[in-house]
Amino acid sequence: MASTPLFKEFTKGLVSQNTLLVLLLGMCPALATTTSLANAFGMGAAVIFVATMSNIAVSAIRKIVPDEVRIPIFVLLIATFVTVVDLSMKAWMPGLSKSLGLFIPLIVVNCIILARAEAFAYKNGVVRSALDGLGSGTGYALGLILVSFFRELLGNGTLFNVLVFGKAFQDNAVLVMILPPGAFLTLGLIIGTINKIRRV
Amino acid sequence: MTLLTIIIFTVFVNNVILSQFLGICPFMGVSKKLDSALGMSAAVLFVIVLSAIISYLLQFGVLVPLKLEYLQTIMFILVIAALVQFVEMFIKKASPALFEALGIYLPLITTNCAVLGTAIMVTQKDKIHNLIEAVVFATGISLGFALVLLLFAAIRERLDLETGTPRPMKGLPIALVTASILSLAFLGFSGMVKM
Amino acid sequence: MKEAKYLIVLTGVAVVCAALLAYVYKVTAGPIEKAKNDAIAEGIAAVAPELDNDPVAQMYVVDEKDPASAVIYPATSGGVVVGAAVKTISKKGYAGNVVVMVGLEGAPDGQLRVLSTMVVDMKETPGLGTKAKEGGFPNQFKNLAVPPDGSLFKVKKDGGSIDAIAGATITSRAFTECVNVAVQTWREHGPAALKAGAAPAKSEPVNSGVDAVKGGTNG
Repeated sequence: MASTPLFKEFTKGLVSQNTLLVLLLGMCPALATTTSLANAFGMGAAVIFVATMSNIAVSAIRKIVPDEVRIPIFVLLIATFVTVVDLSMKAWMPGLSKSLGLFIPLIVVNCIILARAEAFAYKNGVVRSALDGLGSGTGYALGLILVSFFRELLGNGTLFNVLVFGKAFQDNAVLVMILPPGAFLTLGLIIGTINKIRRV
Repeated sequence: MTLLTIIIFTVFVNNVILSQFLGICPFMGVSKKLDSALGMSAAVLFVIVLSAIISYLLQFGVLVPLKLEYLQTIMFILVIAALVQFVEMFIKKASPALFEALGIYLPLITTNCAVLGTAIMVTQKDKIHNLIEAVVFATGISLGFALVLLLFAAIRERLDLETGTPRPMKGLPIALVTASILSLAFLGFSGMVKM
Repeated sequence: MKEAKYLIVLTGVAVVCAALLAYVYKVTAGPIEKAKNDAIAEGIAAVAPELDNDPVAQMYVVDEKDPASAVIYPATSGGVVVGAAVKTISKKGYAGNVVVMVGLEGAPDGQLRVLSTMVVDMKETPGLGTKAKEGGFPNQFKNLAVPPDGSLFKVKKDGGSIDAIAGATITSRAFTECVNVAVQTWREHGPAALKAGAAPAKSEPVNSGVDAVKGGTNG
């Protein structure tokens, strides 16, 4: 375990073990917050922050946390960082906070964060854990961005609210993409494609 | 707005899984077989309704009067975690068979977005005006969850036997595409009642 | 004893977390309030006539007990009433409430004109109902004179002159209702709103029903 080069702790979460598309964790926000690239970026950033900070916190106190009470402690720490993100967004990014709504507090039940805390941060040093958190968070964000790229492009004709195919396309865009069915469809097809690439 | 409206809204119009995207992970994991889907739905119903009641009381009895609303996320998730522990112990004693069948998915109810999501939603005063409405709302959410879970289990039992599905799509991807069609069908309910 | 250690660690972590959160809460409370007020101020600035008063400070809630009550933000220039921005809520949207900020030009008892409108909140169908936010439909209300005989705006289907959005009649009706309610509110409650304008500022009716901290921007 100690022989893994530091940088690899970060990169493993990006592609080969991409949290969303390979490990299939955290699907709820991937469907709900990917109606636009802006939302996906905002959500991704929030997840990166919480994943990194909670990994650091768990790792820092891992020696004094008894095994039996570790889950409540993890939850307490994760919920704290989620609240920090929630309050900060409400204060300085109110538009984003409103678009993402419920899903910011719901980061606390996003399986990835608890999974990484339990599987990695509890057993490894602070620097490695930080990189692990950063990697899994960034991988997740990349997954969100991929899904929202297609949804916004086909459902609204825009990328970051900038028209790509012209107004005529936007007025007649594939609306269903930004509605719930489109979310399921896009995610399903993307994961299927990734599976094909990985020859699963 | 009547209690019936709330039920129709939460089960059909704004279905927790197909419209609000809450509870997807257990949805994908447990919907493969009809009997585990049933057991899961019952456990989820219990947890959601109870945690909605406790969260409502906690929010308006403690957090709001003490101006501690920002502790909502922490308090709610701790309540839910504790509740799930109790439910686990209860099921283990009452029906060891069900306990075995649900396996890992029972503690995972804690991370079910639908539970925390419902707890937060019942504290939004512009939609829910009293505890009765909160209970009905939570019940509706659980019923909507159960409905989709059972519908899906029936479909998936068949889907997994199909040999026509391309290999990369087997399992989760095809389930998601099926969910997309189901979600499209449920879109037909939109506008039926409002909340 | 093991249980004691658990308790100590749990309490310790809980205390540290609570302290961190209390700090973050303090730091963000001001900006959060400001963000809320800025959003309203922006809405008012977008639709109201030229003014030099502070409409948010002079806001007047028609019915304090009703979270869906209309809110009047009077606009004066040089001490003379020039109009108001009125925020109205229609419960008749397709998928929920439609909240519109309507800019009116004219005194409550005089000739009125709808200057402009801005959708504050809506949950209508993307691509259909959301066409009420900008484009042909809301532009019909720009610089629209209010009939002096008190008759309401109506969509063509209901015998009026407003072109509804194709495929989104319900949303169009809800939006039109917002404009009508805005006009009626200004006529009926405008004088009271102007008189109360000198009173201390209250803040936006917060949906949780809890009295929030005093609002008001500093411009």
